[in-house]
Amino acid sequence: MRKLIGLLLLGAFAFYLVSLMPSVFSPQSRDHLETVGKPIIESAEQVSGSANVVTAIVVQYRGLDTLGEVTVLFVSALGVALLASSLKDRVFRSMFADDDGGFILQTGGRILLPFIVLIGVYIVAHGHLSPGGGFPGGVLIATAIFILLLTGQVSAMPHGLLNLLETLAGLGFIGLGALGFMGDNPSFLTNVLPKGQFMTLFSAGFIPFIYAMVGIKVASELTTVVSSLTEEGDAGTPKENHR
Amino acid sequence: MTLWIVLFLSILLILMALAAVFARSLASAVIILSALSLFTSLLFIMVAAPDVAITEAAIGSALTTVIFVLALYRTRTADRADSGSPKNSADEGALALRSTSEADHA
Repeated sequence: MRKLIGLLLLGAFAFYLVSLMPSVFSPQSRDHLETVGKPIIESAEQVSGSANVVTAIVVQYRGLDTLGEVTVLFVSALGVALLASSLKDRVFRSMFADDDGGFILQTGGRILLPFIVLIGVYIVAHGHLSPGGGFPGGVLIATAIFILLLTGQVSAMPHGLLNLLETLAGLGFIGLGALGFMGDNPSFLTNVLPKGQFMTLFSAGFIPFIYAMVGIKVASELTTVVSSLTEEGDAGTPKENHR
Repeated sequence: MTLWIVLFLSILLILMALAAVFARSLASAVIILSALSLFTSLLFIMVAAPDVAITEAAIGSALTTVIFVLALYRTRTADRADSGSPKNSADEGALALRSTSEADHA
């Protein structure tokens, strides 16, 4: 019975989504869908100097929300690290030590790793010019570091360095936001840096710097999450390895 | 044309979500969710949202899967270690993971 009701609800929702689809695509009904989008798209280039309007919204119009998102991610990383540190098994140490993942993973990981990191850094650095930004770029870098763990080239992460990076990035975000108090219209997270030439790398004022901070913070936090799940906790008393 | 691709993708996504819900094991549900994220990012590209597509591909299909698999594996072995019946839970867990992933090269 509960399954049936769930299926009915899901079917109704699916029908709603499918019936929504034509109105998204037909150009004549698009006008009444946009109410706040048009003024933002028209003013974004002048207000922020960013070529990517999505980035302008995320960092400039809704900068405080981005700070909140980064805080949510920090809290969840903290929770995972706290929970994983109480696990006392040594599963992955023995597994990663005995199992190198095979030839394909080893070679493919070694060749792909620099390119994945390069693409991650590119996405972070060009967040104000092309699609992407701090969040997906940081996630890509963290995924690349997970390949290092998978192939067994690194067994333990430098947690001190990661914590330092995360702290500095968070402080940098807040510091860049606090620069806004020095402008003629003083408020938190407003741009006081020069906007520069439109569509060049050093343009859009503080947006690339804030996205660099977000990228470093996301990458170090997610690396902490993944590595605290693959390493055994410090609190665990070392059990005997049975091999 | 675009409309038909989007409709096909939407129906595929609904079917995959149903498959993830009704999947026998948690591991296959996680893999189905990963594939669903990949097709969702395709859908986001079709509706001209490349920012969301990149984020969905990176987070939904790569990192969430990694974290889910790791957490699933850790909790399963922790349960087994708590019940205390197998002597070497680490070896048994490694065997279980290897048999599911078919990466048998030993």
